[in-house]
Amino acid sequence: MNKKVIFVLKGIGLVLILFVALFPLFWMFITSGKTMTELLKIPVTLWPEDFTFQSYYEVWVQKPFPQYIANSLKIAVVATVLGMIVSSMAAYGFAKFRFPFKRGILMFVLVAQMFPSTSIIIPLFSTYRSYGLYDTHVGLMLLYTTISLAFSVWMMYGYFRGVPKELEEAARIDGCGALKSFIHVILPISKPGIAAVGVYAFMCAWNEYLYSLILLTSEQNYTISIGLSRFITEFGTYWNQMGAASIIVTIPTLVIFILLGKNLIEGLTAGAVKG
Amino acid sequence: MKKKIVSVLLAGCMTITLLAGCGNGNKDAGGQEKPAEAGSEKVTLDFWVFGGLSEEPVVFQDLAEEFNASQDKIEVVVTAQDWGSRQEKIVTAYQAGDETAPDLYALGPCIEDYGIKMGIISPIEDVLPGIAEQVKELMIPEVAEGVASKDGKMWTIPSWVDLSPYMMYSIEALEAIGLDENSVPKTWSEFKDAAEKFAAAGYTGYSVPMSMDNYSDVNNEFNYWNWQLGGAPMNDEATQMTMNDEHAVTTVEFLKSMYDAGTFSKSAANETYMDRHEQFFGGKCATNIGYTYINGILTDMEVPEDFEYIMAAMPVPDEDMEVDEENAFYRMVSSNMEISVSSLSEKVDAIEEFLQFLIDQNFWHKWVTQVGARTPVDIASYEDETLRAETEKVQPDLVRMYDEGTLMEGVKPKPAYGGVVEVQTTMAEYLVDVIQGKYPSVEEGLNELNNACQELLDEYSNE
Repeated sequence: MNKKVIFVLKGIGLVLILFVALFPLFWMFITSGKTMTELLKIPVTLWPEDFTFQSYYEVWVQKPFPQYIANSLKIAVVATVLGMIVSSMAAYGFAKFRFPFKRGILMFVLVAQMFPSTSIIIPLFSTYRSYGLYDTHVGLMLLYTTISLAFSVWMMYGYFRGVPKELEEAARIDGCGALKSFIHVILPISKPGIAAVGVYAFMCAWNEYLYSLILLTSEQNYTISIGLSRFITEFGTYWNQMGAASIIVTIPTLVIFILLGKNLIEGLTAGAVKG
Repeated sequence: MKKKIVSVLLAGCMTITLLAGCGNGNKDAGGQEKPAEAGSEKVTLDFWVFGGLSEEPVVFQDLAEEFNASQDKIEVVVTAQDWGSRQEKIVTAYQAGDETAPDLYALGPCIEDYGIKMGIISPIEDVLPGIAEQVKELMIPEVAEGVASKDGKMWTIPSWVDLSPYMMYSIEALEAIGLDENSVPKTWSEFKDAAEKFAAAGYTGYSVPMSMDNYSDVNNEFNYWNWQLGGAPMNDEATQMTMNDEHAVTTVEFLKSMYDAGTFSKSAANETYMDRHEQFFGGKCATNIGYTYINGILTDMEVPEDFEYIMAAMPVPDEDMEVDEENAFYRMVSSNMEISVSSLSEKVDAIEEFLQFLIDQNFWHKWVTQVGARTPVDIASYEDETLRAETEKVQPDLVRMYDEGTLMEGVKPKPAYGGVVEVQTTMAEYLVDVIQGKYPSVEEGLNELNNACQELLDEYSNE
């Protein structure tokens, strides 16, 4: 009896958590299907009186949202790939080699994660203007690679430390140097960790707003985060269009989680345990 | 222990590096101030232009190209920036220091915030007195002394102003009720009378667009009439709502009386300001409240070539109406793309040369010939024979009002009523309900409106 009660209570708890997690998505979806008049009505309606895809049309056809999405995809993918390469190589170095001040440098990398983005925006702006990276996608790619680097290095470091030494030793016996054993032995078995790092880096780049706001000026260079903010205008907020745009923007992230979710969880937890 | 010390030292080094990155970039390695302009090197002027109609930044880009082609000592680089992110971009650029901050801005009303409060721009009269003198001679005095100046000192060079509101009348509709462009309604009661006649003749006489899609339009329509009585939705400090005072009651009673008389369109409750534009230019609506940037909007709208209209002054309160003369005004002026000099820039000579070029080109007139919208602020656009002819083609009513001496009559800077959106939406919702007769009386409805908005104001004041 007690077990049944606990089971039911757990179920209720899970349903509540699920509700809290999914309700914003549901609200975003129904907002996208309402007219502005219905959105501002009191009491609010839990489902549109007459669901319409007009907002999706306006966002996709009348606004340059496809351009924003293409820009964000380009920047996020490059930053993710670069981040995965650099962080896995750095983490392998930390995990498998001994060198002076290794611990200190690792701590240095962690401390870098703790600085708020607003604290470096001014010198970053100055640097980017001086080096011709202002209003460029290359500038953002480099920046987003760096943003996710600290956490990615630490996560991969924990993962690589869990890889048995014997595997590497076997590779060395077969004649592999450090680089070859990294590429042919370590990387293939570290796919979950790399997937986790990739998803994290992608999310950082995809959702980032402040740096792209300050460092981009041309409309053709804008990312989706800036695009979403442009629904808030001097004359009001176009909530329905913002909802539609948000749904569209969520799709790539959902796809990635569906495809790589299992690897992500495995990679995150493996890194957490073995770190 | 040794490792911990090393870790702490490394963290400390990084912190110092971070702070060093925020240091002043003005000085060279020896700590000396860098010279503003190197002898024979080309000087680059960075010019950030914020917002505007799509053609407006292009005006500056074209002028910059012409200037760059005319000489080889200075290069002006124009960057069109998004209006919405002006605060973040300008403040960041200013904090980053003079090497990367722009030299010139074309910005909205900026004297109070960016000039006096933050010191990001310097008064043109201090930096370039010769240019300021010229601008004062060439610009309409009310603009030079009002919009562009503070406490008698010129700060900026406005590219244009918007004057609003005006009442637009369809000539066809006027003729249908026995009026013409020389006999438009002058007072509120004349206007109401004409609106009823327009309705009887098959037009929408006068209609407030009451859709919540653009709630600010509802409030604007109310304000355009209420300001003439000296009323306002709230006090200057934006702490006290005044939507149930005698002026507000008079105004809403006036609007409601037209609604009750059937001058509104059948679907007014769901119409926006743009819907009314379309109805007006589609010949269905006899009247339309407009602004002087309306031409910019019209470029995207299909307006029949043979459609004739007149932009006239708003009808004024009847003689027997209570007017607070001290606070009453009939038209508001707002400016944008005010050319402002960055307080960090030391390229004074180059800026002077570029601004002189703009003045010599009479860049203000580009808003007639190239943009085709807004109110020109230079006297030449109204008095020079050739330029006047061009202005008359695009803005005939402004030229007429200039000749009459009424262009800037009763003009005040656009009031700001705080930034609380919920107050604005609540006010609009109640106004629509009161106009549509959902309350026993206008006073009762406005009392409820006032109380509801006051609660919101108090809430935000306490946060």
